[in-house]
Parts: sequence; structure tokens; C-alpha cells
Amino acid sequence: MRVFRLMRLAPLLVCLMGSACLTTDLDMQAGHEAIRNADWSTAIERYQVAAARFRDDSPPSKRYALAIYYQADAMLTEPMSESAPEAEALTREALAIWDDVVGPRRLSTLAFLSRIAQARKDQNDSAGAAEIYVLCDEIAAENLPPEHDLMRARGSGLRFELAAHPDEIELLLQP
Amino acid sequence: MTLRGGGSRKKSSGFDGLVRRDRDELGSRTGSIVSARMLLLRFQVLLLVAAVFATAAGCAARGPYALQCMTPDQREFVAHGLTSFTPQTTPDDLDASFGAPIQATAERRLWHRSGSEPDERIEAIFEDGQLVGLRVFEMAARRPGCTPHRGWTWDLVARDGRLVPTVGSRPGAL
Repeated sequence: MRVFRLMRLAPLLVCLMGSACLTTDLDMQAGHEAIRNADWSTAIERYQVAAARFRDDSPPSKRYALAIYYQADAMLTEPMSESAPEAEALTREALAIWDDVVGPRRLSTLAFLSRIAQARKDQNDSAGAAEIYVLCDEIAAENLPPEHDLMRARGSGLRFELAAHPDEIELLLQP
Repeated sequence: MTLRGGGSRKKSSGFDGLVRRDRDELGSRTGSIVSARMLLLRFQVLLLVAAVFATAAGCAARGPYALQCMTPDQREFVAHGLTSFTPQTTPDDLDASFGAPIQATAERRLWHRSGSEPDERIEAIFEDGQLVGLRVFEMAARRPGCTPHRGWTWDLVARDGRLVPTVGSRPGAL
């Protein structure tokens, strides 16, 4: 019978889930959808709109950090992108907020760092990218067990940029 | 005493009878309510189990490197890469295969293949003049059954004088 009593909470649960769905940001979703359709300019625009709304969050929020991270990421993904310096600046800002909110040197930090390294490479700065990959290595070693694929790959001498797949790194940011 | 007792018993008996009948009716009603609730509960448990299985299946299919997520183009590329490229492959050799790069340094060469479906970026990484890695980055993934994601990568790395798929989940995709 306790189960039946618990079932009375179902409407409350439904309401909570409904409100969670409603609070999911529509601009961010539209940005993700545009990415799936390889429509980079629309994606950048929608992330910008989302970021503009979150910019005044006090203290600076995770959602603002993610909005500008995705905006920068879309800028870097665009072929022949000439906005690598701007993308790098945005990603660095996102990383600073992320460090404050989530904590420094977490596994998710790798997502930001790998994009900053990519921006450095897109600016023909291989040495700058290599420095960032050294930092990535340290953070990965702090957060991953030695038997993890990434650690094994690094252990066998593979460069970080080849050992860490962008898809997997991107997934680190997903809840 | 007997009469009173009997009367009392008789009364009690009549009342008990009424109560019993009421209980029986109530019992059958309660019984039907309980069985309806049990049915509902079973249905909900069934739904829950189905949801758990669906979630597990979804997670299993979500693997970024699932076989069905590799396009014929990518299979061809990987097969071509495995047989045609080696760590000694020069930038000129790669240019001959992929066309003019959009970016070229001593350590990195980048191509954008807009003719492929979907668009792809190919990145070659050199170390001391040797090709150490080749990565295909698919610009967007829209295939059904695959995680909607920014892109997919397919990597070949130099190993023992050959280019081989990277460790981890990569070999499963081939």
C-alpha cells in the first residue's frame, strides 16, 4: 500500500519534469539543432542569443559558460574559419567561469582546453597548442585511471591530440 | 440468563449476519478495487521495466563509434588509409589524394572535403617529417540511430611502420 501512497506523488513528479523541460533553453537547443544540420552561422547566432541572456547571471553561471563555449566551438568548426582568435578568447572566458563554478582541473576542463589548443593550431601556433596539450595530459592523469583508453594510448606514446577523440571530449560536458 | 443470553446471542447473530453480509459486499468491492490497483501496479512495473530496457538499449546504441555510424565514405577512407599511407607518406602524397590543403604547416595539414557527404575535415599530423596521425572529422552527424553530435572522428596513427586505427573503441568500428 505504501506504493500507492508514493504514487500520489506522481503528479508532482510530472510537474517537476515538465518545469525542467520548460527551463531547457530553447536557443541552446536551436543552436544544437543547427549544428546537426551543419548550419554553422545559425548555430553561432543562436548561441550568441543564449549567451546574451545569460551574460548578466550573477555570479557568472555554468549555462553562460556553456553558451559561449558552444558559440566558440561552432566558430572553430566552420571550415576556413578566420575567427579562431575570437573563438579562443571566448573559450578562455568560458573556461575561467567553468573553473569557478565546477572547480579547476576537472575532466570536463579538457573540453575547453582541447578547443583552445585547436584555436591555437588554427592560428598556426603549434608550439602554443603543444603547451596546452601538456596541461591536458596533467589533468587527464589526475582524473583518469591508468587503464583508461586515453591513458593507455598516451602511455604507448600517442600524442594527446590523437589519443583524445573530440567526440569523447565533447561528451564530458554533457550532464 | 439463558433467554437473555440466547436473545442476546440471537440479536448478536442477526447483527453479525448483517455485518458479515456487509463485509462480504464490502470485501468484494474492496477486492475488486485492490485487484484493479494490482493490475495498475503491474502495468506500471511493466512500463518501468520497459523503460529501463529501452534506456539500456539506447545507451548501448549511443556508442560514438558504433558500426552503423560509419559512412561508406569513411570505411573507404580508412581502408584506403590503411593500405595506402604509411608514416613515410609525404605531404605531397596526401595533397595528391585530398587536393589542396586549407592549412599547411610543418606539423599539420588540413583539408576540407566539401564534395563528400557529409562534409569532412581531414587533419594530418607530422612529427619530425613523419606522418604520425590522420584524422577525419565529419562536420555533422544526422544519420538515424546515431547520437546527434557535432561530428565524428576516424583516426589512423603511426605504429610499427604502418598506419593503424587508434586504440580504444576505434578498432570496433572497422
